[in-house]
Amino acid sequence: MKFIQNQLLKKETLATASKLLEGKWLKDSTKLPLLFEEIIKPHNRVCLEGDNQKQAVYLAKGLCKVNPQIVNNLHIVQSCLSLPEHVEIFERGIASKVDFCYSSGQGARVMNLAAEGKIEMKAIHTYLELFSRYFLDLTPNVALLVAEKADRAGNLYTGANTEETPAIAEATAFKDGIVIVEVNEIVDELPRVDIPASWVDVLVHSPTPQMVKPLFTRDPAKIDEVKILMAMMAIKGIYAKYGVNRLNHGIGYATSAVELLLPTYAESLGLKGKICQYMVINPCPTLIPAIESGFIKTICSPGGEVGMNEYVRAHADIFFNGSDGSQRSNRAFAQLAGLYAIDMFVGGSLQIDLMGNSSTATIERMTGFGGAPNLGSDINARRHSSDTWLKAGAEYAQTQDKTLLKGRKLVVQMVETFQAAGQPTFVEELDALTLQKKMKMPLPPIMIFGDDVTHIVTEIGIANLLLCKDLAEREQAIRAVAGYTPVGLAKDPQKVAELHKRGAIQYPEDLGIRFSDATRDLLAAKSIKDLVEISGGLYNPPSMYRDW
Amino acid sequence: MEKLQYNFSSKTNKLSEFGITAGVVNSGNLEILLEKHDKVDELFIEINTTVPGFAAVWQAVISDFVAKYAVGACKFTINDCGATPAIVSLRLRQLYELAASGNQGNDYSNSRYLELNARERINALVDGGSFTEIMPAINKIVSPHLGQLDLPVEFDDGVIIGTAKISGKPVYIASQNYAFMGGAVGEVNGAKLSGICLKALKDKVSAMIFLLDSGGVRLHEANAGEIAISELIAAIIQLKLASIPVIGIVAGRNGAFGGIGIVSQCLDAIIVTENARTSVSGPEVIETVMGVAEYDSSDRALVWRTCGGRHRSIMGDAFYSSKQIGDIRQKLLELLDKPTLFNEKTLLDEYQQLEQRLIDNQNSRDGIDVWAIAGLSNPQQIPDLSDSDFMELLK
Repeated sequence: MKFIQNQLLKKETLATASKLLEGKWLKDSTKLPLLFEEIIKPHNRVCLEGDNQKQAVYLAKGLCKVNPQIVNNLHIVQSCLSLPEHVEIFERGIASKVDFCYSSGQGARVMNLAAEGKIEMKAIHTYLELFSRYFLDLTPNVALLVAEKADRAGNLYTGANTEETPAIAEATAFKDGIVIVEVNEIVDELPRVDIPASWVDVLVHSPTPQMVKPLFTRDPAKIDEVKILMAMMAIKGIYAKYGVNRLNHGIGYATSAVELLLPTYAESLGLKGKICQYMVINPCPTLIPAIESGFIKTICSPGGEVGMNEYVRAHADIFFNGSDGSQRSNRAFAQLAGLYAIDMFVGGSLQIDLMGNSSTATIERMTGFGGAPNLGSDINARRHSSDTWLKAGAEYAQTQDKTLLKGRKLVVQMVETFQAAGQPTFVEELDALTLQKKMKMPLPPIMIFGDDVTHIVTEIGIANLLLCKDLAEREQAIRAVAGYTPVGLAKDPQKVAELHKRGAIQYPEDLGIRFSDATRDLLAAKSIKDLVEISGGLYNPPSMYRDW
Repeated sequence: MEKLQYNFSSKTNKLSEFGITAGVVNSGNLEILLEKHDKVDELFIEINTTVPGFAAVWQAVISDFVAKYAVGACKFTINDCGATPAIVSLRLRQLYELAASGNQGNDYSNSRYLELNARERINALVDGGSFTEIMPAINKIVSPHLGQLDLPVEFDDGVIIGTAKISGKPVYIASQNYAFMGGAVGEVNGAKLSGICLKALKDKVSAMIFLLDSGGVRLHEANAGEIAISELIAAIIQLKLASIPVIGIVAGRNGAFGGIGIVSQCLDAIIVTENARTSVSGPEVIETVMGVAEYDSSDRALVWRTCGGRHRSIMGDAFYSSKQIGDIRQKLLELLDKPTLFNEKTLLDEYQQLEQRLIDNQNSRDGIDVWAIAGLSNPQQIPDLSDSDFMELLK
């Protein structure tokens, strides 16, 4: 008995709550706060499912309505703080501690509450770290999750936006925590079972469908010539040079430009079948032309994308779909693929310093990490080889006069030198350091460490940091591509010329690219409507992206 | 606003075209005007910028440009609205290439109307080389109001007007620059629009053509703008009474709203594309006044179902074309040959049709309801039909 206390507590809690339930289902949805008051104990670790894209909105609203005299001091353990309710529970004294990854949209509020002492901010994680800690020291006592559909028995269909629900449910269910799920659609037979009923304790019928945001849709109309120039340089100077086939793209416009240049520019360079065949990425609509032209063989997705479900269903050879035909995503596995199986990460950032460290934190707002650091880090635990990995490793070993013991993951930053007029991307010191002091954090919130970065692409050129012998050279290579920012204007022209001669800096003309070639005519799609047409009508964009 | 002036030494230019511009005055962008300068080994440059405090950066960007290109005996005047150095370099190079190539018209046959700027749209639609601009940028007749409000101006004040030929027929044409202040009408801009109409009336041309792309009147000079719209409508009516066809094209980013929405409905005919929108009050205004339950302006599909190009064509208010320049031009040619009739009777007939439309649709909540009443089958599928299927349906 001594070591099954949690089991006993769970039984007792569910027995008390059973008066509100019919089977596993909450009888009267107005009693949701009451249900929480029966089940959630003060100081419990609670995951209120906020993923990157989907949110358990109904349960979040319900949790805000509990009596803080009964439910208080909760320790929130979830990846994303993105709903206003995720912050309101702290304001109302229901929760007091948080371990999380990312605070999209609530960054400023979270920071203010932390400064006021209303949120005790524990650690800010990457996705994989938080998921790992669910199975070690941060296992939720109660998980409040969301599914697309359920059957009467409580089996769940989470579909394209499965994201991290299985990871949270597994950690909670197998450690005698209580799993509560909101679901809008109740059916007799599910398309498939994503999470079995035996992992689920309580179900709540939500009056509205789950909220999912189209975070990965980029409108081709917004891609300008500068991004196209950078994409051309990256394709020729990095993708083709290293023959990159296993990779992840960030969600900025620069990588969207690369995606839209694959069937046009890259194909004209004879690169089909030679680059970009396996991608870890959400089903971004801007991938449609590259998929249709046969560039891409496999896409491993951490989540879905609004409007892409029918397209994904019709492209089962490319995506991971269930026996019912619809997509299944899994953030934990996709992040693992991004950590161990890709040869290149390409992302953007708000600030980069002289060592190549980058951060998206500003003094007013901290968003946290999400998955980029997992994807954008060279990993010492890798043992399998690939030509790309070895080529990058050899370049580095040669520069350092070392024996080749391991390859290198290519970690590429694609940024314009300025975010906007007067806002340089390249800085002497990251705002993250000021933020660290202000928030008394143990470490500055750095997204990608400079020593992991291998290339920086700007509209000026490509800095290949693998070819820099020491930190002084790295600094000059970064200054060389920093353009007219104060960092760039302070470059040492002689050192830069030396680095250029050695190929550590390449300008567009070194790659045979003229700025005047970088026109929107190169884009395989110029508008969202083009993407719909290229998809054969299978892509159904959300209303906010329509202009027809 | 901050004004900066520099002289740079440079070899004498070998350019063949002056008085031209590159770029547009729009957030994150800038306009550069090229003129002749009296010193052969010097570039004179004047910058008016909304972002003060970056003199050193401007100097560095322009020094690098001058090091690569011979621009002696040139004067650049820049109206900047927060362009990054990358954009500044891009526009300088584009201007240079345009001037070096003698401003020769591109081949626009495969272009999309939506992707072209106001001047390019004219050149793409009229007979090659036939366009002559009136009051071009080099005349620098800018808004007298914006400067007082410390806002950037544009040398053509957001509208291009001039004379041209289409299939050999003399036409006058005006093209609104959607990117400068949303294409909105101010004092100079409005005077250019009504002035070209009056000139068309005097010169008895074959047609007056408007390439509309505007949210209406500029709030910063609203009184002047509203007066300009009334003058424009009066001028259009005079053209119609004189049986000079007045044809509009609404196929740009902003559509035709506010005063320009009214203007669009005063013309003899308008050509619209799928992405076109035209109405009087903009969606956000309707939502603000009537509430989100009445009209959700963030529901863009609803916006297009109620004021989009397809809706306007189904209602018989517009002629539908695909987005390709060639198709729009073809539609324009057909309309030029079509006789127009405007008198008291045609006006009363139109009133009656509008009244009937209100009666027929008193319970309609959405474009889909209106299309069903108009007798179209599967109305909910109309927005997603291909252009060719939609045009088949219209027949």
